[in-house]
Amino acid sequence: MARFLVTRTLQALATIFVVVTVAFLLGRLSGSPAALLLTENATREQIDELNTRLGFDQPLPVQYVEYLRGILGGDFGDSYRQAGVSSMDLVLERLPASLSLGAIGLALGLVLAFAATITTHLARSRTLRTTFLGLGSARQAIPDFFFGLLLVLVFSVTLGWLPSLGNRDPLAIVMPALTIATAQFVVYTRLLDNSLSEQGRLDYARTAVARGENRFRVVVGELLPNASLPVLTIAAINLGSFLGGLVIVENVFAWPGMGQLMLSAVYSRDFPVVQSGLIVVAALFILSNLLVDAASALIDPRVRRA
Amino acid sequence: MTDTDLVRKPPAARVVAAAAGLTPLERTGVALVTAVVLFCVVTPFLPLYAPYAQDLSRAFVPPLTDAAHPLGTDMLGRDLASRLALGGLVSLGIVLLVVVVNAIIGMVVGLLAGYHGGRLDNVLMGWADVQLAMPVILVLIALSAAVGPSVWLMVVTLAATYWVGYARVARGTAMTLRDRDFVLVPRIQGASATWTISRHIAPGVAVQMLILASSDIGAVLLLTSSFDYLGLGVQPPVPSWGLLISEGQKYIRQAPYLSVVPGIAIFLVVIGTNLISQRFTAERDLRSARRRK
Repeated sequence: MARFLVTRTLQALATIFVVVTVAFLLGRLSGSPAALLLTENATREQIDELNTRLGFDQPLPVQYVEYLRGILGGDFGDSYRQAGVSSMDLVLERLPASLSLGAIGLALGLVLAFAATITTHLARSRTLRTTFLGLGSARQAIPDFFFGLLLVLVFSVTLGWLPSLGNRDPLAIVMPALTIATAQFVVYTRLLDNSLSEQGRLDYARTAVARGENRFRVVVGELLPNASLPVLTIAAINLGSFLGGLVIVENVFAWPGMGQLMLSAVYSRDFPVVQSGLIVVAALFILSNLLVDAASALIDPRVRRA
Repeated sequence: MTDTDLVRKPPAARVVAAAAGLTPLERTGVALVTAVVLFCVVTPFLPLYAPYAQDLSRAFVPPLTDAAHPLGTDMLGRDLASRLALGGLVSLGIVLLVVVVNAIIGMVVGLLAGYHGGRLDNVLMGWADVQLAMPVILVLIALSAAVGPSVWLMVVTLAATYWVGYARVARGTAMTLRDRDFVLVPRIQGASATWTISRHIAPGVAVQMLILASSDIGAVLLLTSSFDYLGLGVQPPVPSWGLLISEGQKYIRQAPYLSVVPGIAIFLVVIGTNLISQRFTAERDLRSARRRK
């Protein structure tokens, strides 16, 4: 187990290193930010002074080593647009908002999927299954940003129940979380439904039913724990695209998270902020994968040996 | 109806026979997609077509109130029907471009990896795994921040990153076909790898690529529309469906139809293509879910 963890941790660190390197190279692709940061009639001296201050006068390998040294010391470079403010501080300031929205959205999606599937299986109803899967598929055919807009149209503009922007009001999380949750719903419902049906055909399930246990106990108490493992694994595997989807939802609802920050940094060509954001997202993604691997190795000895 | 029936009949009869073999849901899908595509193609030939002409005195005309502007006008008095049609041509054109390029890249990579195996296979599929771990949207954000957002950047990014699914399928099929008799015989007779792949393996793989591509259209439309919406794709004044929704969002209170109409267009195309490709994707989803467990 210890060896497994060490190898996986080393792999994770190597991946982070690759991400940092790619982020650095992309940043240099755009060239010196002098054209962005100085006025049109800046003198040659001003441009040179800026390039020296940011290290753009050095050869690329030197800049790279400097950048890595800075990162080891916790310095990820200052924002181009807000002089003297660390780009990483800007990103980390937004992290809690993103994490809370992502966690609540994901949890809500899983809860909805579990509730729908358990109801279907308890009622043994084909109609219910078709309805849930049909609604879920229809939702998936609507782009997230448009679904969010429809929610705004109904609940903010027409009914006036919910605030449409920001995160000051505690109710403001309802619509972005619903947008995320409903987008995930059909994937998890279909998976859990299949996996529950499969478990239901196995001997232990038949035995339980034959013993005369009530259906609720069999489905929820005995089948569900076995059936939910693959769903949780897929939820973890999908985390990357999930983090990507968060960017869109944050922008629809002006939710002050990392995605919104990174996108506005794209518009203002504030590359260091984008760079730090990418590193944080990659680190989150890699860390969660590491945790999932460790957890499944803990549960399933076959993974450990592989 | 068997496959041989389809092959022997003349083209028109084949279309009829194929349509007869469709389920009602699949037929609905074909009808939806055809309707939207027809609208986009025909509108530019109508006299009302003027996607860029502004008329501030006739801004925010609601839909179905003015014969000259059947779908109404936007904040600058531009005709929404014209912009919807042009936006659709732009959006769907980009989707087709991305899907076709991805299918071709994926097919070539998959065929080479599957046929030759060994180190080439490891390298190509290893790279595919790396790409799968990177959400396209983050790659596009990084590139847009570096060189500035543009529609070509979006197309190139998608073309370079989205082929992995195709490559995996092509590789799998190439690996199984490689050792079948009809491929082994020419190989033993000394046919070159290029000949064997293009003459004997590629045709079998191409059908699968076509199926995958058809089921990908909806997903790619959702993706590119999101990028347009975020400002990372098509740039104004050229309209696209995603961009129309984002322009309309600012006026959601006074003129919600500006966003809702293009949103419905996206929904119809995605649900239509999903209905058409349903029977393939359902099987594939189940298979990949089983494999992952």
